Amino acid sequence: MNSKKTAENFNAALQQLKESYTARLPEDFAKIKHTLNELDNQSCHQSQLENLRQLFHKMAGTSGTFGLSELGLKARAIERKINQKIKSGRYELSADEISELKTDLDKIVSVSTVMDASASFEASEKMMPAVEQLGNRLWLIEDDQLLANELKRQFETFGYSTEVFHSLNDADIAAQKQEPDAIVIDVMFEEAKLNATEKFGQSSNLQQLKCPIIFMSAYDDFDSRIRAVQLKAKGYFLKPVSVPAIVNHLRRVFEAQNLPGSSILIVEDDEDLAQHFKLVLESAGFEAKYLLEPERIIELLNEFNPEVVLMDLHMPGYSGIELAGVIRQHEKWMSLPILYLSAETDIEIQANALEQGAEDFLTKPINDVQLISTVRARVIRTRQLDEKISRDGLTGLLKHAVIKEAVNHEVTRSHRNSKPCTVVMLDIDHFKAVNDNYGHAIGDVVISAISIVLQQRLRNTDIIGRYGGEEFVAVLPECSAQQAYNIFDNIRQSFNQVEFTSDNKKFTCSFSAGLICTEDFPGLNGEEMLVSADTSLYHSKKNGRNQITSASDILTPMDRSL
Amino acid sequence: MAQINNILLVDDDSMIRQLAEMSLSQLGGFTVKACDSGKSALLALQSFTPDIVLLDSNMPEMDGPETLSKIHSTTDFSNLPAVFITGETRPDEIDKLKALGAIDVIVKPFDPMTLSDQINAISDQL
Repeated sequence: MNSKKTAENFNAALQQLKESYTARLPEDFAKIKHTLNELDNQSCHQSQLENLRQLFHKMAGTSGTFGLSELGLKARAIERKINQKIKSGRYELSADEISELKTDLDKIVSVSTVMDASASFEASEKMMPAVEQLGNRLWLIEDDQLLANELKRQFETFGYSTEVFHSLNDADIAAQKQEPDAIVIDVMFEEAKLNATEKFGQSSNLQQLKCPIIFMSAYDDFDSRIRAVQLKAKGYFLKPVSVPAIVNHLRRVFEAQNLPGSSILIVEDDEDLAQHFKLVLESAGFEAKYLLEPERIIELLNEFNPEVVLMDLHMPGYSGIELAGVIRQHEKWMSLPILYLSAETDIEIQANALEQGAEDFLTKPINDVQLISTVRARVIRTRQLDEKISRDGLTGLLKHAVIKEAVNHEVTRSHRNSKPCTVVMLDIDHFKAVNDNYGHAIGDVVISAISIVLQQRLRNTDIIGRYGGEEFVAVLPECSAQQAYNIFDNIRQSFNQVEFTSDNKKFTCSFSAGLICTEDFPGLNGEEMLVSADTSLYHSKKNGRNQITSASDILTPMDRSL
Repeated sequence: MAQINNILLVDDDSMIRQLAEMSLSQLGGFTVKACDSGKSALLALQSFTPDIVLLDSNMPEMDGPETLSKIHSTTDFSNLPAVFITGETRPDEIDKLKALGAIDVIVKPFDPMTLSDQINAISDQL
């Protein structure tokens, strides 16, 4: 039996086994429930508690091994809770404690019922916190109550629901039960005679969380920074911190974890294997398609527009290297990343393929986790490169030429499908004064702050660009002038709330905007829409700034037929 | 480095037993004898000569450490290399298991795709 077949058979058997395991779960839950009910009826003995711990312990190890990671983690958390109880030497459980355990059990039962045993082995990854949608639950660990309140207020203006902990210990206890989307820790305090960094290093529950953790510190030395990296901090900010800068950083961290809409094309002649790869990639949130006939490769590329191609090195008729050659003949696909799937251990063949423009090799049998992480890393790198080309470095928004093209495209589309489309142009008020008074670095913070607020408040389908220095353009398809006005007025009000800090001086900013909708001016093309949006913006500025003007309020019908 | 062909696997959880057996035999090419308790493992040793024993640390009645000490007290298997499979994740608990005479500890959840690689890596230490 060759190794490919072995892997396939193994995967199939694995799948079957996983299905039997999921089928057995209700029985395991019933056992636990029974033990819990016994606790209810009599005073508790060490042996009963130990028995309960064992049951959760088993579930944690076994479910994790069968790829049900979320169930595994939850069971582990309960096991740890019971273990602490046993270690404390007090074996009686209060009615409250018992009912808490029952609630915990109900929670993991509900986790397990949403699992689909027929999904691929790594399907549980779908439910891991790391790949959830951009998160907004933030934990702030800050001993200084006043500062905590102020930071909380600012984070909340960016849409984070923020829970404050005044000690690492409290946060560590909370981490047993729940996980936020991100944690920000002030490491400049002492707790239990340890500095906060070391105390954090010993907080075992916090350490096990998968969410990004950001340090705020007053130390700028190498040792403090390397310690933060060792403790897996995803960011390090010097105090006094700029909340907009942290929010901007978090957004990038989330984006790297979460890659919406990336599509992968699999070229593989073995349909079972192709199907398996597709399932694995889909379970990790990718969109995947496979192609069994290599002759249709260009057709499918144009149709599906993938970000990465996974290509079997050996297929009947053509080699993967030859196919890559054909792909590279098309200018559009010159830089499309190709990952080869190969059973080859032959260095020469791989070297040859690399010369032909392959990015990397995955050697079969391919571990699901490895497949996901390799593809994810490739997508991130490709996007970073694309971004460098089409996106503004400071804000991550589209550059001038790209947003202009997007306006043209959307306005044309709106004429075609007779649905409204609104173009908004906005400009930060008195931005020159910000730069003059506080310096360009702070000016950059203000610019990234407005870009974050825009990205958080607008829909995924809206397109946002940095049009000039402090000038921004947004295109909102299927949105009327009135709807756009309401959205931007709301954004304007929350941007007024954002507090900026420079050398301990605090200040706020505002913006003015002008907007125009295709519905009101059906005769205008993209270019003309931008001119009119700019005229409306100018009107807002002239009228006292910090306001929004709709073109339909100031432009005459004659302008409308421009 | 010693060649490992025969593996004695002891775990009371039938799912883990099947999974590990399948992974070790199909992907690793090992000959595996699987037992559901320490007692049956000791019985199996009368007819099966393993090169290594993989022991679940946490079993009812006779747990992993006790099973290992019983195996090591027999004349034929007093030096049988042993690896614990454990759900413990705390380093001190893992160190404790190592101190009981196991050459290594595999922590659950383990990856069935790479379990054999782990055993091969362990065999390099022998």
